[in-house]
Amino acid sequence: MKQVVFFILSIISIFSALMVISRKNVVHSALSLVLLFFSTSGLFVLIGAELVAALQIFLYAGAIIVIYLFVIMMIDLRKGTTDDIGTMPKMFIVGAGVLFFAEIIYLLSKANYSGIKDIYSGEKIKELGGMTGVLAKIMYTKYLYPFEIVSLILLIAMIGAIVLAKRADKK
Amino acid sequence: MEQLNYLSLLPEIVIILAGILVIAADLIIDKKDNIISEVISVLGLIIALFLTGNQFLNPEIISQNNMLISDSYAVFFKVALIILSLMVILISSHHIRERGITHRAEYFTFILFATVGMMIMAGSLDLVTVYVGLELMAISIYILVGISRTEFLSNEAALKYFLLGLLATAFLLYGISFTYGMFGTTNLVVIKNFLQNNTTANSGYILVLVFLVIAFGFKVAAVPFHMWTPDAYEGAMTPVTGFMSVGPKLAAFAVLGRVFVYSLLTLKAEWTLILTIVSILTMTVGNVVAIAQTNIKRMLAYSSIAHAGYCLMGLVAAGGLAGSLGLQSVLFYLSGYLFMNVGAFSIIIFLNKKGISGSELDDFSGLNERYPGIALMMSVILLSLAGVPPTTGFAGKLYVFMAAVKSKYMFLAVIGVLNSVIALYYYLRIIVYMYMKKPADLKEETNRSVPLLLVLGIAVVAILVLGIYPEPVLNFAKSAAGGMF
Repeated sequence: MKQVVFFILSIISIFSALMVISRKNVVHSALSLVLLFFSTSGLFVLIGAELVAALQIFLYAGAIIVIYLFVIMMIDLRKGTTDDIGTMPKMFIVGAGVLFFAEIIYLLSKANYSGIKDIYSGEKIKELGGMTGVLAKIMYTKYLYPFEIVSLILLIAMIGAIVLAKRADKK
Repeated sequence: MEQLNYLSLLPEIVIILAGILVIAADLIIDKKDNIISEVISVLGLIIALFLTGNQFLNPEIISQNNMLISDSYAVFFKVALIILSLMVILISSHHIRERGITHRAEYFTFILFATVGMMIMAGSLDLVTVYVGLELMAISIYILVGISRTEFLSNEAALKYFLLGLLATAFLLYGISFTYGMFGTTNLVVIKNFLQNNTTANSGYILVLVFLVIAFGFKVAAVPFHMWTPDAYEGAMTPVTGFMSVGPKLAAFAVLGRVFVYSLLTLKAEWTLILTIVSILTMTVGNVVAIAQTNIKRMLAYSSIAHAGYCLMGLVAAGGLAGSLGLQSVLFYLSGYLFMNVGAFSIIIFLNKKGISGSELDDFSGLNERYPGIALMMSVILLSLAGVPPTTGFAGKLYVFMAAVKSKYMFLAVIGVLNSVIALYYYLRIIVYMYMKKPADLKEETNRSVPLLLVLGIAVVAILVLGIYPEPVLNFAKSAAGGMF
């Protein structure tokens, strides 16, 4: 049963990911992206990572897609489409991408993952009381230092957004 | 265990506080031409410099759950970064008023926060910390590049840098996730021990190396990840260009040294091969394309690419027989590069005025007749960038090439020397313009702010001192590099 759901969700994600990069109409791309986010969040649920699944939907399918749509509506996208790129560069880009992808697949298929043994497996996380609890605990203890730096990143991003977007009406 | 160790973070905390104070003070003090932002920033940085010096006296403190280390290697980079930040703030002070930047206080905050980000990178012992430090630096610099909002070039530069920077960040995260997959940890010490105990080959390591090289190759502007460099350097305000041509490079080389030389030394056969190719490409493309540039900022962009290539050569040597000598040469080279680049961009700022950018080759024609002192200083800086004795550029190149030869990378050293000859052409061309061409316009006003001239003087003196008497810095670099092996 789990396997069947997994395959259905995987096929939907791969299909929608391909739609994102192949559609000429950007709105179609953005909507395919929503589908992609939903199907990947389904995959996260399957492996017992319900928090990541929820965040995927809240943040990506919710907030980020809205921003994408705003940008699409504000910018005139008829100028400068992929049609401006010649056939040869396009072939090169696609070729390089395919080659790189094949390399990753090849190397990963031969890699061994001996190092990752005994780290948080699905069963262990269940034992410790669920994904959210484990994540919260580790974030506020072991990873407190980077967590604090992230707050600085948010602060600077907020100031930066104001600086770049504020209308220069004072004077 | 579960608490932050604030003591080991004191320099960073002071700079962050200064950055927040700058904004607050700007809100309270309403007077138009106040220099309170500059004063607070400079004071904060000087206090941080002393606190960092204090870390040097009690080194090797690992804190924050093994995520932060304050060894002499980290202190070396932190000192260099704070000095860079101080110099950039001093050269910006007058320039941003002239350019009519409305968000003056925020400008300094971004520089201070970017500095903190880079210091976090230099002292991090965990890839997660590297990532958050890098992001703090990168976001601050994206905004700095686009801060002159009304200018088309600035917007173009910011957007290009931002989009490609995001791509590089994505590669870094992907690389870190592979690292976690292979080693089960992101901690560099644990990875080092893991590699020493598990000697079986694993093709996944190559993925880790490739992705990390791409991510940091972008930050140091190594070929073929350099495409953003000329546009971003040209479009950004000149002080920002000075900042971003040195700072991210310093921080990225600090991380490259820490990750490759310290943590992944067992995999040196693989990463020296990758870095050798990248180094050759970077030196050659940087120097050859620089010849064709008529805009000095673009030329310096390509020259900075070439300099990254020389540093990568030192890193390759560090993975070979030269060992700590190679890393030491990289550190020394970077410390000289800091003064050369800030000096060169200060001169462009000096020549900048309304209507004339100061960054075209023609702006330099006949400079000797107009400002003999400035022309002389520019000559010293250019000769140093080209690597002519008795400057730091020469000493730095000498040590890097020596390390490469010692590691039996003879062909790398030969390519490096050939590239220096190419580089000589485009640097000397500016000197020819300054001394042998007639000036276009004799009466003009330039940016004669005292802090700018002070920084220029310091840079030139530092270039000469590091060239003639390099021992103190060299010894510092030696102790810093020695701790990595």
